[in-house]
This record gives sequence, structure tokens and C-alpha cells, in this order.
Amino acid sequence: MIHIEHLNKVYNENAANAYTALHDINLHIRPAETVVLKGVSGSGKSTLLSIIATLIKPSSGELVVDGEQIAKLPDTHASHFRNAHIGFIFQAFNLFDELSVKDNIALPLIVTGMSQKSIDEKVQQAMKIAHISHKQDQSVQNLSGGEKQRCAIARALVHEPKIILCDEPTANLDRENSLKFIETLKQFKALGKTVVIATHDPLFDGLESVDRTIVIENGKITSS
Amino acid sequence: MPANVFLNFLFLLIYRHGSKHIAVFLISTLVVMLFSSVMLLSHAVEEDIKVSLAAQPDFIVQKIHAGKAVDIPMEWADEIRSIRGVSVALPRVYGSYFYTPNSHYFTIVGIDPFDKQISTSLEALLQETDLRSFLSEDQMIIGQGVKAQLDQHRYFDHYLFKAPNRTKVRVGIYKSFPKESSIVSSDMAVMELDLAKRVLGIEEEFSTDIVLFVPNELERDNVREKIILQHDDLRVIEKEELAVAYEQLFNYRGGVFLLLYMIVLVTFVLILYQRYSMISSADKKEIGILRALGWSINAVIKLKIMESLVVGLSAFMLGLLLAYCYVFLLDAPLLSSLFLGHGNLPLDIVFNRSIDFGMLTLLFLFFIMPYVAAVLIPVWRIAITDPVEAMK
Amino acid sequence: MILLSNEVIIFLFVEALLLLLQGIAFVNAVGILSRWDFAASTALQYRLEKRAYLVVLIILFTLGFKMLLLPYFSYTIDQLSSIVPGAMCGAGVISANEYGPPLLSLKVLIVFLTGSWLILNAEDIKASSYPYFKAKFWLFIIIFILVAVESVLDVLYLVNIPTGDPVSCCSTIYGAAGSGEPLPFGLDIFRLLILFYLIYALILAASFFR
Ligand SMILES: Nc1ncnc2c1ncn2[C@@H]1O[C@H](COP(=O)(O)OP(=O)(O)O)[C@@H](O)[C@H]1O
Ligand SMILES: [Mg+2]
Repeated sequence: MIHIEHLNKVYNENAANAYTALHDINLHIRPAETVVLKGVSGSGKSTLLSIIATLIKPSSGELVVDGEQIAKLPDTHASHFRNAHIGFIFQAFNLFDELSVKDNIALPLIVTGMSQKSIDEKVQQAMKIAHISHKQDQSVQNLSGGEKQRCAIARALVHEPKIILCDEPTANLDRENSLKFIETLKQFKALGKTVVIATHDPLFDGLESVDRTIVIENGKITSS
Repeated sequence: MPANVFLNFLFLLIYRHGSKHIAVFLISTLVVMLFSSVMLLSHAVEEDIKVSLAAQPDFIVQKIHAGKAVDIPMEWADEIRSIRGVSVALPRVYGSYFYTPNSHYFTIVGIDPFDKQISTSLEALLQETDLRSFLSEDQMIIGQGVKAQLDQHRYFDHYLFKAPNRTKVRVGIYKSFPKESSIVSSDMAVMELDLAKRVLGIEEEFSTDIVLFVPNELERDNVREKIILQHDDLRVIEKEELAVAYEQLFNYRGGVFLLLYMIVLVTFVLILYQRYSMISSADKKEIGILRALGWSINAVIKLKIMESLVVGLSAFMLGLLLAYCYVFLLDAPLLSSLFLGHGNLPLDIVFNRSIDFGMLTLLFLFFIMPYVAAVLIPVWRIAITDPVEAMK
Repeated sequence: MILLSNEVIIFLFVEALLLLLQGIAFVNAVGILSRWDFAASTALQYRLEKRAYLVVLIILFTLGFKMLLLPYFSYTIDQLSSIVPGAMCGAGVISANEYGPPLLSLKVLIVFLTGSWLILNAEDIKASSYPYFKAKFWLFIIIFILVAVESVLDVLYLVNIPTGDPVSCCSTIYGAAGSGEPLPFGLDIFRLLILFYLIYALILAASFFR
């Protein structure tokens, strides 16, 4: 599903403060695989996820996702790819505070060309999976952390992407909600999603729903 | 993408962020209103002049002495009338009378009640008047403005005009015309021809100028030449020229306003540019989220441009509506006196409620174009924000 | 001084603003073209790609408004025919001085190039490797130069339209001097106008059915 070869990322290239965040990354993730990307803060996890999501361009190397070369796509195509294939769950939830749960979840669908009716249907479906239907008309700013997380999960699922990227999904959650999130991983698996979780949370160690743990240190993969 | 889905989201955002747009909306409305008022007014005046000119004589003949128009012998009218093609040639008597108490000018218009009238409005005036009682003594019919001035000094019944030869001419006030009437302009006093001559100090056998009608357009050049051949101290003014002159005059007045407005507009554009360049980190974060969810740079640009367009368009419509009410319902207080000035125009100004398509496009183009131009660069700048940075 | 006609003032103001914007796009376009290397994965190249969005945005906006401005130009010219002595319609006003006919030809050419640019841009966006990127930027540079010439001609043309003096109603004799003889050029202008509207309609249709 995801093939990364000799991938490098240098921030502030050709400048005095140039910083190599990723060194010669080689990584192959199979379809429907759930992978944990483990590493301390600053090791390059977010950078790697952002590159897979085409939010950041690599400095060199190959990146093939679902058979498509995406490292150098122009923005229109990259965005289209992202919209079609990637669901992103962020540490900070990244929701529109003034909008309702329903409207937040619909955000990825607006640019797909779907009719309002099918958008509404898909939003309902996603809310059901993430157990947030009962709050659909609430404004996001009134939600608890766990509810915000579930809203973000619904949004990551709503456009039915094949790949779900989670960046520190439990960093802003208490233990109870973190465990609930880990439960959701099973649902992702049941839906056949390819999942990559970047985290340093020990809760993810030795989970049955995780197929593989990749360790990243100082921008290099040390074990996979 | 289906337009309605996109628009739903657009309006949702605008609704949620309403307070952010209020300032721009209010300034825009004001700018549009200012500009539209001037344009509507100038257009209404122009239209009115066109209508009034249609009823004007085809030629006006003046006698020139030392470069100035002087009184012209009335018999010349008969000579001109004998030229082939001329259907009517009438001596006219009119002029300004300086009303000393208030330092105001009245326009004195003399009429020959039994001859053809020069303008349809005078025709209508006479039709409404009982000629026998009007002519029974020296009397005049006055416009509202004249009446107001005379009333101020308690001349309710008559007024003593001081003629140039130091005699006093007592003229009774026959009636005045109500304000709504467009038949008599406000500064006009209409009286019988010979009486007007006495008031204005024009000699018995003379008139102010001569007007003529030449129904056949093809004969006009010919007629003009023949008149000029008859006397060499003549000035012949054709209606077409008058029309051009008026149009130019109003274009000038409008043009000066327009230039002023352009300064306002440039300031407005700079304010808009400033306003839209202030991107809060919250705004950036929102854009970052959208980009991460698969919105392309183009989609964000579209969203942001549409957002400012909606604000601009609604301000445009409200401003236009306000301008319309101001000009046509309130008769443009302040602006109309500024615009029309005190120029003694021999035409009556009535604001017809006329807006034509060309002007609407003009108003629209002239506002929306700079408006969108001002936001292009700020919109682009926000659209290319690095989503990863913005979401941190 | 025909410049004080409202329509003309607005026309020139809008045109000047468009030219300014296109100037910004032009400077950026030259900068992008000189450093463009799609094969490179450098930060510079990605910055240029982002900057290109600004250029395309401005081009779309200005060319779009220029298209709107064309009918407005005809409208202005028609309005002028009531001020310009002797001219009965726009075609007469166009040939009122020697700048009119070349100006109209230039406008036709620009409309044509604009259409080509829009097609090129649409094709370029469709592909994922910027195949027509350089071509469309070069074409824009050509269009910009033509537009700059057009703007100069616009001003020259409008300034040199003969009108009577504003006080002509008081001048003794209104001479026969005024408009030139519109007929010899008239036929050409007429054809040019038809061509102009044809291309215009074509582009509208093309962008509509795209
Ligand atoms: N935009 C940037 N410019 C410069 N350095 C950056 C930038 N983003 C991240 N970095 C650096 O790259 C390294 C990896 O960052 P990140 O991928 O966020 O790590 P993680 O998510 O594992 O904490 C860090 O040292 C960080 O300081
Ligand atoms: Mg991180």
C-alpha cells in the first residue's frame, strides 16, 4: 500500500539552519496493515506522516501509495489524492470550533463533488461508527476531549479513505478515552483500513490489534 | 463540485464568522452608496435634459456685438421666417432680474399668449390659465422659489420691479405654481411679452433672441447658411450643439465627482488589502485543516474569493438600494445642490427614476473590480499557508 | 477633453488597475520562468510552484475582467457617439482618429490569445507534470506586452477623439470640421467588429462547454 524508498527530508535546505529530519527511510506497509511508528518527540514521526499525506514534499526519494507516485505531484493532484486516500487524525483534533459536529465531519466531502444528500448520508454513517451521532448538532467547542476525538475519527472516516494516519492520537486524552481509541483500532481493521499511528505512548505496546511496530530515532528507522 | 454544497458551506462560514466581515461590509456599503448617488443623480439629470431638449427649437439666433449677445430687432424674425424650410420663427424675450433684497436672480420669461409657444411646458401653462383675467392688468405667474423670496418681504400681492431705466414697474402676482409641478421652474416669473420687455429694459422693437423650427433635417444646414448671409453679426446655435454642450457640461460635473471618488476608491482598496492581509493564526489554522482534509490551493482560493465576493455583493446591493432611496425618494438633499450648483439652467430639472442597464454594469464593474483586485494577493497568501505549520 | 466623460474615466481606471495587476503577475512570471525546474525537489522549486498559483490567479482574474471590459468598451464608444459631433454609432467613433483601427485589431488579437491561454492552462492543470507550464507563462508574457501596448493605444485613442469645445454652443459658427470620413475605413471596421464578436462568442462558448 505504502512504499517508501531512500526518502530524505531536509528542512531549511541550503540555509545555515538546515536540519535533516528524515534519513534514507525505507518502508513498506501492506494493505490493511496496522503499524505503530514509535519514537520520542522530535524523532521525525510527524514529518514522515505529513509526507505520506502529501502535506510536505520530501527532499529526495520515492513515495508510492496505492500504485501512484506522489512525491512530486502538483498541489491540485496531491490534494485530490489526499482527499481520496487519506484520513488524518491529529493530536490537537484540529476541528472548526464554531461549526457543529455534523458540519465538521462533512468538511472533506465538500470538495468531492458529491450531492448534499449523499454527503448527509455519509456523515450519518461515519458518526455511527465513531459513536458521536447523539452530539451531531452540537457546536464542537462544547464537546469534551473524548467527544472531540470521536468527531475527528468520524471526519477521518467519512470519505472512506484506504489509509488512516494518526499523529499522537492519545496525547490529549485521559487514560479512559485513550483505551476507547485503542478499541477503535479494531473497527479500522474490520473496515480494512491501512493504519499508521505515530506515538510515543506506551499504551500501544504489545497490542493485539497492532501488526507491527516501527521504531524511529533521529530521523532513521532503527527497527521494523 | 455541486454549487449548492459549496455555497451552503460558504454561507455557513460567513454566518459563523459574521462579526469579522461587518467592518468591511459597512465601509463597502458607504462607498457604493456615495458613488451610486452621484451616478444616479447625474444620469437622471442627463435624461431629463434629453427630454427637455427634444422640445427645444431647432435653432436659436442671437445678435452679437463685441462678442456678446445683444438684443435683436424683432423684424429680423420676419426675414428669417421667409427663408424656405423655416416653419416657425419667434422672437423670445427673457432674462435675469437681480432681486436685491436677497441677492437672487429671477428668470423673467415673456410670452405672447396668442402665438405658438416655444416650449411645451409654456404651452401647458397657458392652457391652464384664464388668459382674459391674466392679461387684464400687468401680472405674472411665478415659480415656487420666486414666491418664497417675495413672501419673505411680504410682497404677497404684487412686486415693484426696478427697470434698468430707473422706472418702477408694478406687476401683480397672478398665481404661483406648487412645488410638485414641473411646468414652471422654481426661479421663473412668466409675464406678457411687452411687460417683460419693460421689466428687463428691452426696447419696443427688440427681443432677446429668435428661435426657429426647421422640420426637415436635411434643410437645416441650408437654412443656417442663409441666416448667416442675411446679417453678419449673427450667432446661430443649433439644438444638436446645445445637446452636446449640455452633455459635456454634465459629464464634466460628473467627472469631477468621479475623480474625487477614485481617490476614495483607491483608499478603500488599500484598506481592504490591509484588512485581508491581517491573517490571524485561527484563520490560518482553519485553512490548514481544510488543506489537510484534501482541499486544494485552488479550492481554498475559490472559497476565500467567494467569501469576500458575497460580502462585496451584498454591500453593493444595499449601497445601491440606499442610493436609490436617497436620490429618488429623498430628492438627494445636499448632493443635488452640490451637483446642480446655482447654474441658471433654462431647463427644469425633474428626477426621473431612471436606471439603465449600462449604468448598472458601470456601477458594478467600477466597484467589484477594485474590490476583488484588492483581495487577490491576500487570498493567495492565505491559501498557500503551509498546513503542517498552521495546525501546530 | 473626452477624458472627463464618466464612461471613459471608469474604463481607463479599471484598465489601469488591471494593467497594474498584470504587471505584478508579469514580474512574478519572469522570476518563475527563469528559475523553474520541475525535476528538482528543492524548496525553491516548491516555492515557485506556490507562487505560480498567484500568477495564474491574477491572469484568470484580469483576463476575465478584460473580457467583461470589451462589451463595456463598445458601450463607452456608443455613449461617446452622442458627444462626438458627427458620429452616429460606435463604428464611426472607432475611426475618429488614426489610433482607432489598430487598437481594435489589437483587441481582437488579445481576445484570441486569451482564449488560447485559457485552453493551454486547462490542459496544463489536467496533467500531473506541468507539461505546458513554460508555454503558458511565455504566452502570458506576450499577452502582457500586447496589453501594455493596448493600454497606451487606449489612452492615445480616447484623448484624441475630437469633440467640440464645451462652450461650443456659444461659438459663432459650428464649422464643418469634426469627424473624419468614416466610410473608407468603415467597411474594415465593420468586418473587424464582426470578427471580434465571433471570437468573443467562441471563447465564451468554449469556456461554457468545457
Ligand atoms: N518546519 C520545520 N522547520 C525546521 N525544522 C523542523 C520543522 N518541522 C519539524 N522540524 C524539526 O524536525 C524534527 C522532527 O520533527 P517532527 O517530525 O515533528 O518530530 P515528532 O513528530 O517525532 O516529534 C524536529 O527536530 C523538529 O524540530
Ligand atoms: Mg509530532
